[in-house]
Amino acid sequence: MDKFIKYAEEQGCEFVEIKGDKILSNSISLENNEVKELATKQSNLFSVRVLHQHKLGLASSNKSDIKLLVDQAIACAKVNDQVIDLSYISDLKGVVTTKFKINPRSIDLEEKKKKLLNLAKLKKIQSLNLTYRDTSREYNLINSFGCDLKFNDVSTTFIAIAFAKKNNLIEQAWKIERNHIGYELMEKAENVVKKVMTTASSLLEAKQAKGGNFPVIADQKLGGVFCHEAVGHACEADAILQKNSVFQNKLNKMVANEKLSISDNGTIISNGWVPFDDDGNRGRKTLLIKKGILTNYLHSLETASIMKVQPTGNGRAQDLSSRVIPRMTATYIENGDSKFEEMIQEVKNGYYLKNSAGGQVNPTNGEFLFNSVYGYKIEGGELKEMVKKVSLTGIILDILPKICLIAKDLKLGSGSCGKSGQLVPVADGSPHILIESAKVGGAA
Amino acid sequence: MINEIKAYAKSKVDSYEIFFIENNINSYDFNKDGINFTNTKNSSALAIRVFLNNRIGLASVDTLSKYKDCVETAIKIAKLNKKDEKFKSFAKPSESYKKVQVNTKELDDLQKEDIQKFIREIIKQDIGITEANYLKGSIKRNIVNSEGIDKEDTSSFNSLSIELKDWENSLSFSTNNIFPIKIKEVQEWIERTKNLKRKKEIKSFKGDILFSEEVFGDLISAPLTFNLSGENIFYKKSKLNQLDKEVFSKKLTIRDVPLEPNKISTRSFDSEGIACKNINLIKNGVTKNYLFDSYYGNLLNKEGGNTFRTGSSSPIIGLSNLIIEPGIKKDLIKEMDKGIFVRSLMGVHTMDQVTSNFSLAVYEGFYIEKGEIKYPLKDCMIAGNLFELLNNITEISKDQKDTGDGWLIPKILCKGISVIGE
Repeated sequence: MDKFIKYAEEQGCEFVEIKGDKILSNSISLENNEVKELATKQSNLFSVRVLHQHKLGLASSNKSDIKLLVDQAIACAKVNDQVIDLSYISDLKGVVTTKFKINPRSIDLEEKKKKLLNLAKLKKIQSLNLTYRDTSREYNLINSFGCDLKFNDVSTTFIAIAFAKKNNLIEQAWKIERNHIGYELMEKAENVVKKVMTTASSLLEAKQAKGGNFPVIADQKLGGVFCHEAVGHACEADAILQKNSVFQNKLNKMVANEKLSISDNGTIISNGWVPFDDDGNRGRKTLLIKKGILTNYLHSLETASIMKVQPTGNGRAQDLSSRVIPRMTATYIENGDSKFEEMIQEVKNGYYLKNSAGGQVNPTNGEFLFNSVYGYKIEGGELKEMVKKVSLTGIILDILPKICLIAKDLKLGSGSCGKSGQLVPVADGSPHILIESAKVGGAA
Repeated sequence: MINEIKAYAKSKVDSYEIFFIENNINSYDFNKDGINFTNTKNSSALAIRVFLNNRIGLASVDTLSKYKDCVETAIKIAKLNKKDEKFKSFAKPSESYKKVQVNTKELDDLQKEDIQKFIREIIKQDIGITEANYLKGSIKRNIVNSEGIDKEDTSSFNSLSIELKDWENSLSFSTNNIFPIKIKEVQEWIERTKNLKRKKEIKSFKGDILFSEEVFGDLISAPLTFNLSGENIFYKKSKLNQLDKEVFSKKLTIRDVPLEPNKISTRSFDSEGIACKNINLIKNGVTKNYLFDSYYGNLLNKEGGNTFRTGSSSPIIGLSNLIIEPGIKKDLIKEMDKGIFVRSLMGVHTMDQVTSNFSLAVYEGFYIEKGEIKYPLKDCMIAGNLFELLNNITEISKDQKDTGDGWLIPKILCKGISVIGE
């Protein structure tokens, strides 16, 4: 690869980065007790990123013609209007290998299929979809500043979707388990299947929530998605540079209840694990909010260079063909000192909302919306009837001071985050949290 | 090379299907200060499905040259699979294929310099662009199978997504087209962003909601695909499980029209090589047709022709170009006594496509009283069930709008929907 770096430098590049990615995945999906698809996928991708006359260009292809990619990346850079100087370019070297108890490659597909078919026998509802996938990846990154990294990764995914039906009413519930671990992830599979079936069946009997402003307790998953959507995105430095975040000019200022601390942590083995980011910088823990005070933004190499700070190991891209931008890794609310039972007792008339069906945020003005999968009414400090999926909406800077109680039962879950047309795997989590008042969507 | 793959697959298995796709995309990121990142992507995928001793196997690789590996892996997978008694055959050639008109000359002629000029023209407009991306790309498909299908086509597209900011308000817009995107479209978006000043809260009520063309398209897209999918009909997961049954308001007619000329999803054949047809999905509130691939089509004695593929995946059932038939009245705001006009919703992707219950925040909406727009809305949600909403349509506008995905949709007025405000 040195000859291509030399070639790019001869063409006037101040920085050259060459990446290669080899991915092999196996997947099995079941519809009830029938195998719907058994498939295997192999792909190679190569990319070259250059800084040419202070302009950034990227080219990628399945073909390993690196010289052509250098030429294409330079041609791309020449189109730009804006110039940039890159600082703190990584010179990190090393090999990272995912640790696992059971190598998915050591179990043949036949056995994996049998495992899934056995799980399908648990079916007690209208329909059950199960998907298993394991992926192995060899990722190489080198740059002209001496960075030379290799990541031998393994990840395993299990997805269960349950459909319950009663007369013409159909309800669904699902759960996705994904982590950088081996086949041992499937130890959780039976519980996951039972849980989604129970949730889907219970939803058939659940009532519609009444809309309005109420105190709300969010469980670990909903709290996690809240902290990802409402706080994490607003801390991404590209949003700050675009003047597109409610946290602009708020560093070292009180933005939340003093009980609240939020971190982004790429070092935890989770769906958001980033041993090194796509700029070649080491993943790390970054405290975003410390006791209510905004303490940090999340940076890629590009945003850190513009803002003249150190990168935080948050430069990520969906794949080698995509631009590296600031993204979260594992983002979570730190444990507090309350108990879940105490929180319930605090609420006279409100909701306990569980699980997440996704969310969206407008970082400019801080408007957000999150959907829970289901919940319970709370009356007089006691949990009452189940309610169907309801949404929670509000303004970030209004709601952060209203998170008044935080439990000490933090759990991380896996998710997928979309931004600028790119999807990356992330983790998010939280202990149970009590929000004094939030707008809940339901019947008027 | 495709002939070589055909010969190799033929020597190894009973029947096969070869799908090859090549994408070339040039992407430009820009903001109010100019273009800041340019990217070129060339990618391809070869997916081979084989049928051997009544078992199906699917494998994919990234380039044509790895075809032997791909066939061998697909065979290995098939051997692991259990017998599929439901599988009849890969898609059979259709009796005839309609030639479709797709005029991409204007877009194909567009040079890098023209794109730079267009982007600079956008930047010149007097508005804060926080983030924007322009893409120009082409896709080439080859579909060949042992039943005699041998089809090839290419298509071109360009897309623009942009986030505009005016004071504390920002709105995101996007459009796809086979013709070069025009600056006029961006100017309309700028006007909409500027119109969001002086937002006010309203009290909760149940009333009329007028949905803009884009919002209505967004709302129905996923639930309609889910509930009309032949696969979900087969597994009894759909709420629309009976044809010729009145399920929605009589005013509603929805058509899937892949043969409509010059649209983003215009195509003569689908991703299995089956001829596409224009069909009524809903006619005057009555379910008329479902969407099929060859597998579930064979099982329910229907024709396929409604699939899409990204490359390495199996064919996925989906909607192509969609048309909702227009109504009679021109200005629906005048018809409203008290209600809201919704032009953008937050979190539509979080809507439960199975139950079709929704509870969504209004991003861009206006309070309407006595036939007049009063002010933009702040902190407002709408909630209900899409199926009930489609039964409560009171008016459909005379004018339709191309919503940027090749969909032609009028404005839709519905009654009795929960608006959650203060």
